[in-house]
Amino acid sequence: MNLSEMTKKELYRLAVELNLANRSKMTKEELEQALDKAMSDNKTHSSTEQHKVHPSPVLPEKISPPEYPIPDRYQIDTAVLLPVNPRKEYVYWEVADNTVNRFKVQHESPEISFVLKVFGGNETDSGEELASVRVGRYGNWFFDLYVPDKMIWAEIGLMDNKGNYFAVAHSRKVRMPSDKISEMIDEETWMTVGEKIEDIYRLSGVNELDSAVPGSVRIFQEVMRFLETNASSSGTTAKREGR
Amino acid sequence: MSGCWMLVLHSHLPFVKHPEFDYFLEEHWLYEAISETYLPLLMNMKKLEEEGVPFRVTVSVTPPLADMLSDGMLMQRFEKYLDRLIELANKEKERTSGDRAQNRVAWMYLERFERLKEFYHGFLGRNVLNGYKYFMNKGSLEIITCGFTHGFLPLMNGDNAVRAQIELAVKSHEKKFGTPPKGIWLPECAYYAGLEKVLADYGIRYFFVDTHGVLYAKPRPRYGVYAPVYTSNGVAAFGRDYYSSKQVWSSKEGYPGDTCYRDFYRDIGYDLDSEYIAPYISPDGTRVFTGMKYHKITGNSEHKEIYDPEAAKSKTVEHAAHFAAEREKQIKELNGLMDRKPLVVSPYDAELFGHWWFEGPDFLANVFREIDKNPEITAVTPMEYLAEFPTNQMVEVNPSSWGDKGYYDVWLNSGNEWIYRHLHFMADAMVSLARMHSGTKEDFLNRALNQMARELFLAQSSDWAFLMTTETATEYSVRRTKEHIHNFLRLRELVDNRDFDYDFLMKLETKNSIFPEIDFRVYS
Repeated sequence: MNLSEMTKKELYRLAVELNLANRSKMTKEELEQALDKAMSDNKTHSSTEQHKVHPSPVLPEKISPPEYPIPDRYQIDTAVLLPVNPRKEYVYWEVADNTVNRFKVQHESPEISFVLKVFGGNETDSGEELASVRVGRYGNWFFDLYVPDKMIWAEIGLMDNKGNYFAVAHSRKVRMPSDKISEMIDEETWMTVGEKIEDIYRLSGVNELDSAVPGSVRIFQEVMRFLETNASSSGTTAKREGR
Repeated sequence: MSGCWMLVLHSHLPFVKHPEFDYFLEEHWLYEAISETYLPLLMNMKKLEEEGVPFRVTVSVTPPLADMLSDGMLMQRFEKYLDRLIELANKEKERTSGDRAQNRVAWMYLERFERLKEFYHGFLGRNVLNGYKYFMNKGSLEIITCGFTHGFLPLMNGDNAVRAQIELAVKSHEKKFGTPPKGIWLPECAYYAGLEKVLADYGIRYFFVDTHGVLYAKPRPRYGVYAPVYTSNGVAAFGRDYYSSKQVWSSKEGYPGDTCYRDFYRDIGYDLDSEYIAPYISPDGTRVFTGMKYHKITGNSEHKEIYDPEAAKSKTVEHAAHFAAEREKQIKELNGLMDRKPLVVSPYDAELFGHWWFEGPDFLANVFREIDKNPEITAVTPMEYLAEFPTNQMVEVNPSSWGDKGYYDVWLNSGNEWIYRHLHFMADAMVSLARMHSGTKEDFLNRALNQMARELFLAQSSDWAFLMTTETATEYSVRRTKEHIHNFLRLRELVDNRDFDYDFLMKLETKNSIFPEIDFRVYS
């Protein structure tokens, strides 16, 4: 660790970890010196006990957290598409081993490939193919198709060694979110507010939404980062703050 | 003309209960939220009532939170927690006796903790929900619900899971507050096209969306976010006002960053000698927040000065006056553009006030004192507003959330996408098992299926996906998610094989005990 390359903030965090006295009143240089000293002292003593409670007989025993194994997949035929934002979609899929084996026999095709397709369109039509990728038996994929307001869905299928494609499962149709003010204006809007609508939108903050204030996300992240750097590393229970 | 202002506070904590440990750090989220946010908010409301200052607050109390607030074990632990705070404050009063400035802060804490205790045992009768019910009955509080376990509804892949989240939320709300909810705070403010059908089926009259949920609606919203809109079946959507959110939330310009407010980070749990502070931090020696903090934000540097409670208090008056004046300015400007009273909706996480922003509850009370003096602004609840303005424009609300970037990114990205395959499989399996066994009278089957529903609900909490994204409480949230998936699949095996393993079942029933009245048939 090279102390001279660290910012004052980083030095301070380290000082908190080592529980240095008077650290809040120190300048950057003083922090650097004090840390340098504390760390070389530490090397000769035990290095971690310094800021911890001395173990006493009442301390709970360290129990390693229980393991909860879960399967990778479920041996089902499925494809699910979920929107992430107006420009991004997530798809996961799986083709069951049984389906694959049956297909191989039926189509006399020992070699097969898996194809993942994404379609866009309306509630009712059969849609237009927007993307098609070769994939594995199961997995997930992020697409970056920009289709605001469109209905969109995914399909997983098998292709035999002659290049014939057969659909296995498809997702529900989902409506993608929009990222702009609609062109659609109803008549009554013109009668009630007319052109003032632009001013109302300005007051609504439409020009600043890109830098939008997130819900609680930012503040939590900030606090958690702080805690992450300050929490000591002992204990079996997680030791971070959240909400 | 004049306008309306609507304060919405979303109170939520994920269900965290660990009877298997004497001390469990994440349980402290609850104890801190009660002592720092919920009680101070309710105490301020009581003060306003005594002063005769009218106020209107719309507050969500999510079902997991309501459940924890009624959980005997957890509340007993909270009472112990509060007693230890008082004990610590007493010691601190002695320790700091040589330093006037610090000693004043120690006394402030001692008095504060004792008042909290008195309020909790006295007015609240040892039940925090009593406070909410009291103000609900007075008409100043509109309590709304949320998803049953704060599940992220747009990522549930189908109506069954969404319906179950809403149906049980309504049932839980009715049980806790004696009346079905009229409104809902959608978990993470997350809306998808078609959700309103489910809401309408359960008697929900309104929900909230972020600014662009209304602003990007189709057709164009006539009044921007300054009036609610109706979805096609008459459920109203209220849009968040950007500027009033920013005033409080922004890390740069926001009120909570003022230099004389209390600093959140400097806490004696980290600062004081380990032997002295040992009884008040984690028993394994891990340092944690105690809630006793002596410094004010002071400035950007690490140098922090001692907190001055009186100066901070008068700052909340100043900020409240500024907030009200800004709303008045906004409303007057809108009056020139609209043919009806504009409505400014300001939703926040409740825990921001008090927990993160120590003086926040006082600030809110002062805002109501300011508004009471201001003839231009009326504080309203959603039902009051809809009663006055029952006619609203009908639009298609835009899918959105209030998370970073405004859509679903926070809850669906490469760090947490793996959960959805499992959540969807579980929901589908739950539906088919519920249909198959809906007539069963068998005790084990009934209870195992009920517990499966609980495990599924708990796995669905958006909190876990959120915490994975923030890459901080990752370990705990990954383990919680896997635990519920694992338990669910194990129970499913028991049910399929008619293997009546009561030991395993009862262990889960005690631990993951959310909503004892649950009936798995909600999925049938």
